[in-house]
Amino acid sequence: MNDDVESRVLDIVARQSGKDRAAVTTETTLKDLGVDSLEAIEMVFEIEEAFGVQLADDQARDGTETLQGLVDAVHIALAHAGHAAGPARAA
Amino acid sequence: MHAVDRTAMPRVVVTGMGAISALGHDAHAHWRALLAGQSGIAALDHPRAAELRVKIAAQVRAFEPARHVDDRTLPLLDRVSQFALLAAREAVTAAGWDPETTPGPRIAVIIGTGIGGETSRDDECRKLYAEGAARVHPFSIVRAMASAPASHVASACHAMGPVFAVTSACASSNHAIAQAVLLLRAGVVDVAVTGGAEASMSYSVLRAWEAMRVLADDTCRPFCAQRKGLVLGEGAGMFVLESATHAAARGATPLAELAGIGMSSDAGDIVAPSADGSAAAMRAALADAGMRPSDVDHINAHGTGTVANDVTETRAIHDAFGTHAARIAVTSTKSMHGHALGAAGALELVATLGALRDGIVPPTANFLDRDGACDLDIVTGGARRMAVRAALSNSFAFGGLNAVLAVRRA
Repeated sequence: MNDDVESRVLDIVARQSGKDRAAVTTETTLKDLGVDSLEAIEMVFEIEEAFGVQLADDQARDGTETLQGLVDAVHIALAHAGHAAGPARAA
Repeated sequence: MHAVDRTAMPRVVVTGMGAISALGHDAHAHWRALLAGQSGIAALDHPRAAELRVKIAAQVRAFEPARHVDDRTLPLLDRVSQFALLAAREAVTAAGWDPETTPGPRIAVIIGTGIGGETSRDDECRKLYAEGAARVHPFSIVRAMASAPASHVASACHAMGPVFAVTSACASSNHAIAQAVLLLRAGVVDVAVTGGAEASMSYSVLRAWEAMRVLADDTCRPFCAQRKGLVLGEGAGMFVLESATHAAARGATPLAELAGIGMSSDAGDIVAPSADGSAAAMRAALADAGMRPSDVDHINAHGTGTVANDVTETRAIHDAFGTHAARIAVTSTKSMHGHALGAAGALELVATLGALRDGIVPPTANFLDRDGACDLDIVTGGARRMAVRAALSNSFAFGGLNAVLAVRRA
């Protein structure tokens, strides 16, 4: 289940950044992918839509955190929402 | 830079101002609250506040439009036009100007607004899409159109010359005032009623701001290390601008000279501000006013309280002013009246003119610790009594649209 969250988050990041999926790992940062602040906000929005969760306003704000941070944030938000894998609305 | 011979052009003076904001319903109340460092930011008052993540805003409180507008006119007016009308009437009264004494075609009204009659538009859309209504109110268009505030103010002050709205997001007020200055200098009109108005806190717009993740959840702390973002505001600021000769002929005492305007576009990122673009607008305003950097004692900053704006604006002030930057008293009154978007520049010009007139600069409220990246003389703690010979008021909008006003003692 956890791996599923991780791969779905990384799929979204790859799709939104237009990068090859193989280049996107939990060790990558948004900065590495050349994602600017507005693109990062859109990416977080797509992730929120896909999992039906709300992430913190400053999530991915400076782009220097690894994507593991984003994956962790989704796990925490899902746990908060009381389900392991959210409704796959736009996944 | 292209040198303009300004000696042949009429000087433009401000003879009256009016305001309505979270700090009060007239310019005096707005100014007194700013001097006291009193913040108008409070819990969001909205029918759907419980559902929203936006919890705070700087809203106009206890406003009863029926006290200011007759029964027949009121249904035509969105909240944004109500604000504009109230502030314009105050400015005209303060100027001691009877519009009937000036030929209508020689009067302009130019009003900035980011979005116009937003809450009317949102209400009608809700009825249509959420409630399945078959029709919307017949006044929907005239309430919502962005030029409605300008039209209503024109009717109220007999303006039959150029009347229109200007929109450039958060720089709308300053761009509008700049157009008025240009028309006065060109001799197209003798008087202009100009400024900005905004009242955009609809459910959908609040949701849209949430989605941008630029709102602070505590308060607005411009230039401060702990700043977390902007806080939305609303209101209107209006001014009577005249050619100096028109003002003198009717025996008016100017509040100040609107000495220079500077406009620039970053032609770059849709949200990230550019220090070069901001500095270019400040330099242009100085050149237009015939001011040297060392003439400027005070800047009312754009100072939104976002991480990006305040650092970029600091760099721009250093770029434009060089070593003199350290000697300029800088403040962001958005810490108190919030970010009133299209009305921001107008509410801030009221503050800038107050500083010039009274020799006192309002503080940047809610300030905790200095941010090394914002190394300016930020006025904090309380208002600072000082001689202000000349001042700038900065507005830098999303989309890279910059407009700066330069004022000096008349």
